[in-house]
Amino acid sequence: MNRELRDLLAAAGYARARDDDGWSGAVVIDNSGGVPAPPGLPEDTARKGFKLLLLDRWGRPTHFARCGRATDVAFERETALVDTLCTVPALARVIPKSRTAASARLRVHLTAYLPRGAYERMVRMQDPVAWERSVGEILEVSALVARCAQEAVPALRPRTEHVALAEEAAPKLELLRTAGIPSSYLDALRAALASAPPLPRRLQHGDLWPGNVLWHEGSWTLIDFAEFGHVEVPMYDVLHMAQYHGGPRGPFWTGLWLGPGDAQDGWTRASRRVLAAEAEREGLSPAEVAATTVYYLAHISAYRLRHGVSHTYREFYLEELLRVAEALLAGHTLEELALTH
Amino acid sequence: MPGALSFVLSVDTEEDNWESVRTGLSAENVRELPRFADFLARRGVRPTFFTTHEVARRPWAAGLLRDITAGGRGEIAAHVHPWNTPPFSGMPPSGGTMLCHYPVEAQAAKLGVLRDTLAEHTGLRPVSFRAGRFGAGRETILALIRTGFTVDSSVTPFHSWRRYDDGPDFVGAPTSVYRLDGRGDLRTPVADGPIIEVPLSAGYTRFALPRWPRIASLAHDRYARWFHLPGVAARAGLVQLTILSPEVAPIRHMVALTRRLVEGGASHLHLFLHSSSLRPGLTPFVTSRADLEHLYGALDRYLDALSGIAPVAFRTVAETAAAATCAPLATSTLPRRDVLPLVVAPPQACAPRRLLLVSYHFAPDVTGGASRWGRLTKNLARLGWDVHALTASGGADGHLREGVQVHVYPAGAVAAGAAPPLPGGGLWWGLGAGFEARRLVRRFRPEVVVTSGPPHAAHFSGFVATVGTGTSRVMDLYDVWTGRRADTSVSARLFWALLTPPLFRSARRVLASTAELAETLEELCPAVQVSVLNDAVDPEELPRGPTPPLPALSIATVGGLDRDREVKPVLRALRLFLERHPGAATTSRFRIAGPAPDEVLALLATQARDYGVEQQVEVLGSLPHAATLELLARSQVAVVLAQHQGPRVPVELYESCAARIPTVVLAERESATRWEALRLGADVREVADIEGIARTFIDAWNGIVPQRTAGTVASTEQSAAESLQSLLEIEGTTPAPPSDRAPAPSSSVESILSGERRVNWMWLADPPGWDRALDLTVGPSVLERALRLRFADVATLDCATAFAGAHGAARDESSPRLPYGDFTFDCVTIHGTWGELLRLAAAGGWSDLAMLRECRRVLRPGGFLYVAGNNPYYRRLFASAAGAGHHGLSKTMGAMRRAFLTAGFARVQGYYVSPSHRFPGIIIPSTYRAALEYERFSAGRSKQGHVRRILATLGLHRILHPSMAYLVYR
Repeated sequence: MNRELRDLLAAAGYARARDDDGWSGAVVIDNSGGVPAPPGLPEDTARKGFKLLLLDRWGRPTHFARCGRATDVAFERETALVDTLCTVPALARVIPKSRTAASARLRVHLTAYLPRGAYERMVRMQDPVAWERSVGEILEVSALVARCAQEAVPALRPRTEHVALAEEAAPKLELLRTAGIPSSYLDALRAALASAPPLPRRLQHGDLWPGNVLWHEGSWTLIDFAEFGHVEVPMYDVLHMAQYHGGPRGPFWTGLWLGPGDAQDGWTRASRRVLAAEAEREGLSPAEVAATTVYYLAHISAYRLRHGVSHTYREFYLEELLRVAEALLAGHTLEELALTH
Repeated sequence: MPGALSFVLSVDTEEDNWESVRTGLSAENVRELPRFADFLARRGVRPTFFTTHEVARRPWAAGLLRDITAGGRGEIAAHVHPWNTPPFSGMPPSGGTMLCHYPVEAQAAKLGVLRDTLAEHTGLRPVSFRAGRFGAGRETILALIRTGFTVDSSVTPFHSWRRYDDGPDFVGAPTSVYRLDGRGDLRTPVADGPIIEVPLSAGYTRFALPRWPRIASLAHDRYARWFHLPGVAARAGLVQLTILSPEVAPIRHMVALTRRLVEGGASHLHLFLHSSSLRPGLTPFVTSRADLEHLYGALDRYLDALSGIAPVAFRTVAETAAAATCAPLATSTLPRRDVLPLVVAPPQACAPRRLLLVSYHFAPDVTGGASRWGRLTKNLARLGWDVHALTASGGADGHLREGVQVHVYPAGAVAAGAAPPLPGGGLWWGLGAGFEARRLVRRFRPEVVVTSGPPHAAHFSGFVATVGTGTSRVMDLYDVWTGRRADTSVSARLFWALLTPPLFRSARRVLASTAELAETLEELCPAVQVSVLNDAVDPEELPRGPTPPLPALSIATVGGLDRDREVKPVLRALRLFLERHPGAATTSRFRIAGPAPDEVLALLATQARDYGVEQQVEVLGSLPHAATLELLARSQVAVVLAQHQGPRVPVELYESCAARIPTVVLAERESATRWEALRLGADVREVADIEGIARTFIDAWNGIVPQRTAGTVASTEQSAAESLQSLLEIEGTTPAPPSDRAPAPSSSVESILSGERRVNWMWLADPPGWDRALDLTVGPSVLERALRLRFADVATLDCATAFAGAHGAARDESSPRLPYGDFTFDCVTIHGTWGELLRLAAAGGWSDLAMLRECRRVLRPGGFLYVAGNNPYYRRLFASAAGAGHHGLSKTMGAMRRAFLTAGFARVQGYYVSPSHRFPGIIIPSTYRAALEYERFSAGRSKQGHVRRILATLGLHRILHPSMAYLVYR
């Protein structure tokens, strides 16, 4: 194994890295190259790096390592955040133990290996009741992480108590404007968001979906904190999480979430209950929930646009956003579009 | 043998085109002459090559002629085809194929041009001449005198060419050598004429020579012709008019004619044929390889018979003229230059290779990938291949296109929808074309059959054509093999499930147009070797000379429209551009060339109206290819619509970049087109990036042209054809099983994606230093570019060449000797060529152990040998007998490990690699636990995941991964 990598792994806590035979104890996963970066590679390719599944001398996995470029600021932020959070006693079972080591050109983020019990594999087999219970628990865990993060990481403490949605959404709407969304649509969305009152500022995970949630030793564990804290608008995580369940993925705005959906559908009712519970916990009115949904749609459309996600995964949100904009242009208000029960 | 009977063999060395045409000419048949010359040389015959301007003007062909006639082994003479020999002045006369119908000045001018061209390209000024179609007349002799020729050989005694474009009548001409002065009939000798006529040997199979004029007059009698008496006499075996040519005369007639001429005291015998008959299919006389072998056999037997008839001296035409007339020999040597700047033909150590292409579309049709193979086959022909194409595209059956013989199996034979559809449609065409291709395989005996699709019916045709024949088959795909379409019936899907595996496995190689497509195909059928052969642009098709730009902002897209490749983003961007530059609205245009379905056009009209740009949008429809390229060259911005293309790269990307105008490519982030467009220096945008697209328009409007990396567009079809040739030569000429090595990557897509993965592997493996690496290859190096990113110095050694030399030079060596000192390299890599290296070593009498020891010798202490290749366990399970030779690492893991350790290496680590050693994305130590833990980590709850976990638990992990690699430390 490369000496630099070996030293960093050892510094991060993988004892076997010092063994002569350390290389045979590492499974390389998702090798995209680029670490350290040779010249001439496109930035997005060079950033990818590789991952290692590290085994002990009996072949059992003990650690998982992500290896990236030391100059990758986003990677540095994420690893620092996770290293801090995993030391918070309240999060001992929520965030896996991790440690980071870096050289001038390589950063290694080593986490304890958790047997792969991603919620992603379980969610499709759940019935609506079990799903509602699971999501509720996951959202509680996420809220706990947010609270602890605010205390443990000063940089994440809110600058203000409230968040103005129109202000938060402005850069996203601008990005959508450059993507060719008609100005009239964006103006309507901007006006609707401006009409919403300031909402309480809440740290969000930012990518809370079943693939980033593990079920380990009787509790929920969250991983992938790359986007953590970038969003401070309430309801964001629940809106993101509640899309993934065992039922059909219906129209976002008009059917499943808001508006006159088929109330007889078990999944629709479960989704709405999850949403309503979270809204109640945050003390939000239906119109405010509608406003956060508009923000969510604008944010995720712009995010996926910026990060080059395939249009298949972007178009869905964009269409929903345009549908809302059309309704607003037709004279409807957020209250009229909002969840009514 | 000064007094012996002269025997002359002359070859009309002319273009491939049998018809009298001036365009679309090629002269590839000349490549067959070395074999023919060798054949004649073995019999002592010294041929005379009457060479047309189309052959003479090609330096390689002229050089080849000079080579095979050098040292007095033959003579180069002149042969005028007046319809394509310059100068061309005005309309050709009636009967334009006959030189004698041209004014004497025109004849002299053509003769002069041909003489000078031959002199320029061969260094020899010809003295002998023959008119094309035997169309010499009185004025021709005058023209010959004017232009310095001394010998003519256009007379065919007892034959009249009146019925062929009003040609000359040679009935009554002498059969022996005589003189002409151009003032009388060519049939009438002139005692002191300056031109010596060496007529072809023609006459009758019976009766004494003095009686032949009488027989001829009877045969040409009006009443005799009414009653078909010449034919009746021939059928009855009474008498037959014949000519000494194995193309048209059976050997018994030739022998009979020879006897009559010798008995009659003829001064010479003159046999002739056409060079184009040496390549089957070009003339009506030789239509198959069997015909060609028959022709050679006939000549052989005739020469045998001739030796029993009379002693002969083999002479050229000029020598025969001199010998018969006691005139001084007119030499054709022209020592004008000591050294001629010749472009010699490609090496022709052996007979030209033969290839049959089966493709539904073919040039000049530019649908799908037709243009790809139009260009490739053209250049293959130039590289010396005898290329045939079977297609449904239009044109006459058997026509020639750029040196390629095109056979047509019409599309009308397709009964659409009547059967389970092949991907791309056309099962019945595929079946019918398959039988037709099988007939062509029997007829022309190609060494390799290449099938190209979509429509993938062509692959089915190739399968039908080659199954059981032993002919190699190569599949070329420029789109994914979509055999499992959801909209097909259960029976159709079953049909596919049954057909796909044998179709792929029986192919010797699969060619893909992109690295991404290659990866997809490797997953579809891992047993088959997949190679990448990128598309390119043919510089010869690009507009020449100045191309005046179109006014204002002219945007062009030339690939046509379909449902996937919508044009809405461009319209939006155009709207944005016009909002910011309203002054450009009146003259700016967005021109759309290429096919488009009606519903897409209707949608386009609606969208253009919605965005207020209907005045700017011009739909041009399908244009000729040349017009398409001209449109691009005259526009300011090219737009390539490449949405939803997946692993495909549309050819218009290359065309647009070749036009050297700013090119906007609309493609998804992870698509093959994006990578290729980045390589070519195009501006890649996602469909939602309207602002970005508009920015390119605005920049073009403001005259800001992005600097494109020099040379990025210089991917020529010639180089692609050379790459293809190297692939096909392995298939067609190497008797050993095909290797598993990959060809040199021809695009940086592979080097960026896969090469970087391999580089990363090197970095992880950690050599003792980053100074020197050695890549042992067979053929071009796959890894070199990747290694160069890390190592200061990278050496590559093509063992095929190195060992071939060593075989001869150092047979007494007990081991192969790498030409490097001890302890030279930090790492030695053998990437995908292990099996082939061992075969080469075995051919030299060396063991694999000796090979490994030699690798160890050049490694520094701590350095490692990296060996990667196909996993034999995996391949054995999934490969058929045909694919069994693709095993890269032919030994079991234990045997490999033992071999490495026996060779003196200190430590061996084995790995499973997925998806392949060329794309090392996942690298797993080859231990039970590691493989099992990986399956537990990665496999989902799918059935496949369960099966993989079960297999891994049972210890069968070695069959789960397509490739293996070893790191062997010194």
